Amino acid sequence: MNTIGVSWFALQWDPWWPALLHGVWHTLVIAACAGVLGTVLARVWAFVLYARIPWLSGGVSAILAVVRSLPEMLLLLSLGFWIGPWVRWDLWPVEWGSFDAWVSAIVGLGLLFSSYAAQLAMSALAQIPSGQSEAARLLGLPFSAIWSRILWPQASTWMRPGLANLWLILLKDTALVSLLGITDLMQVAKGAAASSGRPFYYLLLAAGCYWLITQIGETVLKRYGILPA
Amino acid sequence: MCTILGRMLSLVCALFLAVAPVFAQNKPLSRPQARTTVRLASEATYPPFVTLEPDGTMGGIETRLLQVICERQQLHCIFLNQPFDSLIPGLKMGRFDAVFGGIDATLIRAKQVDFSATLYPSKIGFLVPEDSTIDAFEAEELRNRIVAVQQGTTFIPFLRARYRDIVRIRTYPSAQEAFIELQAGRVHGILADLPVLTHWQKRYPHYRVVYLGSEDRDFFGAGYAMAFRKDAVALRQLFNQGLYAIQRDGTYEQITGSTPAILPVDRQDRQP
Repeated sequence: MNTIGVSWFALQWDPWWPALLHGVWHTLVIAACAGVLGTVLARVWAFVLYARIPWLSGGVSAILAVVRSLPEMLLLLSLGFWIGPWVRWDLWPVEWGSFDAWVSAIVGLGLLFSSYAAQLAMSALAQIPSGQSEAARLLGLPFSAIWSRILWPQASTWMRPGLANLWLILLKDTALVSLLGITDLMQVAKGAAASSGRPFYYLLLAAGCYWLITQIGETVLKRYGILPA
Repeated sequence: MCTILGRMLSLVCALFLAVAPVFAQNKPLSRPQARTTVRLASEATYPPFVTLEPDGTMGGIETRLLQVICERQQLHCIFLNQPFDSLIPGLKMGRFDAVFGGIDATLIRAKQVDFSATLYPSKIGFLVPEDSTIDAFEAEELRNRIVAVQQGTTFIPFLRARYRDIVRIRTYPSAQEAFIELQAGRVHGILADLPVLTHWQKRYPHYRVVYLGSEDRDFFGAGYAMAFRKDAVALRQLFNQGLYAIQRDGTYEQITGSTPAILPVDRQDRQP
């Protein structure tokens, strides 16, 4: 195996580690921001879709259908080229990927996440017997209270396993943000693989990093009862 | 409740639309001045032209050439590591001001972008295993052999035009994958830029280069050059002047270890 630059037992510190860890940090930040944004958006979409607001509900479901049907790469690229020219602040060194690229990446991945999570929410909402909201309406509760007190708490419980899956998928989709020039884990690993002449070593190292992150993530989710143990 | 939410959403959208143009301050670099920030993008996976250093900066022959040119022309250059696929679209959308890194200045590409003078002459090599029976890049020796090339490169139209029905072309996203396939014995040879092949061969000596060529100008252009947007004439001239200056004073030879390749794409830009 040595010919392709893999030496299994020579896992040692070398100058590329700080760069890789920096990439891990960027990957985690993007995944976390997109995850939070996506979860918030999913709740908004679910409300809009469930409430059947004239025009708005139809529009949102049409937009989400488009987002779901596009390949992730195409969505990120086109968002980058749309949003990019609108946002022009430099908050950090541009070598890390410009601010507008970060905004596009987080918005794009968040949108993707929310479009799938909204479907999940709709199916979860459909599982709640309609008698519950009918009874609440008879009691005179406004729709906003029915939503926040009765429907959403139950739906979000139903959604948990599906959401946990979506979070893991989101983490791996962050590998696409290098298209926008962000130095995430995959970008650093590719650069290290090519520049050091040990192509597989650094790619496998990156694979190990992704595996570690998902394992830690799953352990945390199980610890807090979000995933079944 | 629903209408209130709808109104709030549309208000937010309207606000964003109204304020957005304020943020859009992406002026084209039509008149570059001293210490102007210039964004140069390349994919740093192409040794020895462009490489990534462990500290996150970019290195390689072309990067060092451009650093020297930027210094001489008093430009504040930022080097961005960007995937190859998004280089030309990003250039056209104004994400960066120029792209570089083993880019052949071909006539087809010159319809979309403007090229600088030649940074480095292009030479092509064909890398085969040491014990291969291929001794020349010729039709009878190549019949039914599998040739690896990088996607999006000028080698593909070249092979399609000259060796159609003779070789079997297999394309890879980058030269690295092609090297892995050659080592695994799944392809018979790699057609790629000579410096890339020889750089790799230093590490893996059981391979040899059998074909050297750069004569086919229809396909390969004059050499590697930087690509600019069509409207960035002044910036392109600044870089060309810098290139000629370092070619005259010997800095060029120090960096590249070879004699300058003076094959300007656009002779008008050449300054005395």
